[in-house]
Amino acid sequence: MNISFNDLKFVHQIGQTLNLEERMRLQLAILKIQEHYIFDEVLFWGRVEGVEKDYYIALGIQYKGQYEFPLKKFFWSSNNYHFAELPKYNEEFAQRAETLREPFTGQHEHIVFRTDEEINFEDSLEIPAQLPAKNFSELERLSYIVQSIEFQCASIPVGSYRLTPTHELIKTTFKGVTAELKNYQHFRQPIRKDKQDLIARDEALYRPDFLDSLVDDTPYNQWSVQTDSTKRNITIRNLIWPGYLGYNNDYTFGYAYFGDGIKNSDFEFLL
Amino acid sequence: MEEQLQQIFNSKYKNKTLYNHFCELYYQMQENKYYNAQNLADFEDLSNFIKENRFYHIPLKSADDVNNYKDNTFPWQEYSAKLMQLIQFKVQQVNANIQNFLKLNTLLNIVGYGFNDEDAYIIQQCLKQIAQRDPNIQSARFWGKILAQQKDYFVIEVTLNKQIKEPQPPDCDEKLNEYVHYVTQDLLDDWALLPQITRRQMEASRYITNVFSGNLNKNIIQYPYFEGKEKHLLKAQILRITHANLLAPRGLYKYEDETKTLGFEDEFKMPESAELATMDAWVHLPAYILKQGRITFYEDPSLKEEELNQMKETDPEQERLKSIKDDKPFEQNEGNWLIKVFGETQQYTNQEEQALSYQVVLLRNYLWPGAVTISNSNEYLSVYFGYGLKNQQHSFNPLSPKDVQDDPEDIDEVPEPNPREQPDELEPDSDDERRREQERREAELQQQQE
Repeated sequence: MNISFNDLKFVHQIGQTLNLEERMRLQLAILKIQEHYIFDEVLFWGRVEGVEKDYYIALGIQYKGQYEFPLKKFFWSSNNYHFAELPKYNEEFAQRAETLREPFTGQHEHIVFRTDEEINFEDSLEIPAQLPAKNFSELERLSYIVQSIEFQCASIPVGSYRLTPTHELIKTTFKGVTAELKNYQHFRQPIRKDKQDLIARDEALYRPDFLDSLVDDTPYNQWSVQTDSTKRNITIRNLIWPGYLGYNNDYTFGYAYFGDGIKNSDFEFLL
Repeated sequence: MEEQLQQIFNSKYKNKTLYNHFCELYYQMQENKYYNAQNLADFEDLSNFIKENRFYHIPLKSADDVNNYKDNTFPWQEYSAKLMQLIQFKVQQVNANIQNFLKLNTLLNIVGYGFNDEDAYIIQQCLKQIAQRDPNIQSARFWGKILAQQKDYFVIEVTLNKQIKEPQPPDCDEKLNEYVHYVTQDLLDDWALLPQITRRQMEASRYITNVFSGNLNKNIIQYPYFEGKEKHLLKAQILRITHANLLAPRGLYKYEDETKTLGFEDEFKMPESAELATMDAWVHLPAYILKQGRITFYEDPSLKEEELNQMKETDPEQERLKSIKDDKPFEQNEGNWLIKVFGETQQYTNQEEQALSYQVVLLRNYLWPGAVTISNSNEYLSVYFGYGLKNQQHSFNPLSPKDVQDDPEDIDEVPEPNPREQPDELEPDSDDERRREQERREAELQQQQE
């Protein structure tokens, strides 16, 4: 979501919002990211609520010079509004983190899993140094969750981006779409065969829907597309990650996450 | 004729007369050896080409734009008309206590929940409209929003002076249906009244986890069986959420055991925010719903006394106006409520040397995520924003269905009696019968001989 926060009214649909202090400090903090990094766009990604403190996530996107899909970089901050890069997570424990139901505490050093691995050096002449076990901290859990949500949910309407002949993504003038699921696609490198082929054949240059469509997402029915009374403001929500919200009207589009970072793993039983 | 032709030729199209355009066209057709116009479309193409290249081209609107123009603007017109009607709604006389949602929404915004001002204003108007509808309404408040798969529900909660007596089975509790709810899916449309629910429906709703679809008349297909449509389940969930989450500051209400009524305390002063930020200061306002689906225990006359007593023990009633500190703690937390403070936390002293703070206190329920109560030292409110689901700490385990009945035991087979065949000789059952049979056979033989 753009840091001018004009689009917050869409987020009100799920009853969440950012208060004035948060908005002001986030604007300043996100602009500050630009001092150290060069991005085409720096956006506010969302807020993950924790018990004691909340995490704010920002996203930097670089379009130019990137082949086939822009580069995304995530930044996190706690209530001190000082953004830092979101670190990589430990792959082995990351899968388990997806199904965790405990809320985030807000303290990023909080240990979620203990790794129990000790790193021993082979017999060497020097006294072997034993590195302390690197446990799976809450920050890594946050990193994994944010990247999962981005991968599974981040969606843009059809017709918002186009692929240039040099396979760069650019934003086009956006005129709005009707409120149907087929008019939305994932904002990620396409993983489905038909879209990958489309891009390889260079046909994607002429089509507005060259990224993975949301219609093919399983389990079916996880997306909820709704319009408000004016019928021009459309929001699209995901039921597996409650808190994710994509929105568009005739002038803007975007997405954000306002929630507690817990996946709704029982979704299949709920319909 | 001549004049009309002249007029047409001199008509201008972006500073170029038609005559000039035709000249260009003719020139191009001559110049270009390879140009081969076969029909009017080709001619039109050349004409467009010339227009584009001479920079006096106006791109044609696509068919979508022109055909759907009405579709695009018509909803907007409808929306504006409805909104105007709502804003101009004048309230005659309202004898009800309506929440000032517009102001309370700003409190909500401070803690990170709530709507924008326009929506809050519309909701306020809706509250007034609903109070107008029924003269029996005692108080109305905005309950919250239940999110659904296709279209969300906005809910308004209302208490009545006199209960509407609907025909209900005898084991239902009137008190359970004390809070009445109106629901709508679009704030500018009409509000629908949710039906009252029976004890069985309330009991069954505890075992179901279901995301609402958005269609009030949809059949609920879940195990255990819920007799009712989505509007009944919605009402049941709303009642559960209300009875678990509606809080009031301690000391505002008092409960008379003898008359079983709730009334206001005579002297009440809203405590300071520092005190409000502790669990001691809050109590549950509505009664606790038993597992049975009622507020007071139902003594089924068909059950025996021991069974009744057993059921009573597993399902105890809880006292009214219970402090939230005594709520069952959720997992490893102390208690069920998370308390956070937002806003201006600076302590000031006012002229009477009393501590004053403008901070806003947020109480969040762990068990029902999405249910919040907020308060500052002047007012308080409770709302719910969510899917209507409890916080499941363990994976969903569906109830196992009852055992399937076994087949009955097989009956022994006997051959079917056929009148053309003589039955097999059977052993006579007793000595008497043997004697009688023998006598009968001798008599027959004698008859045959004669």
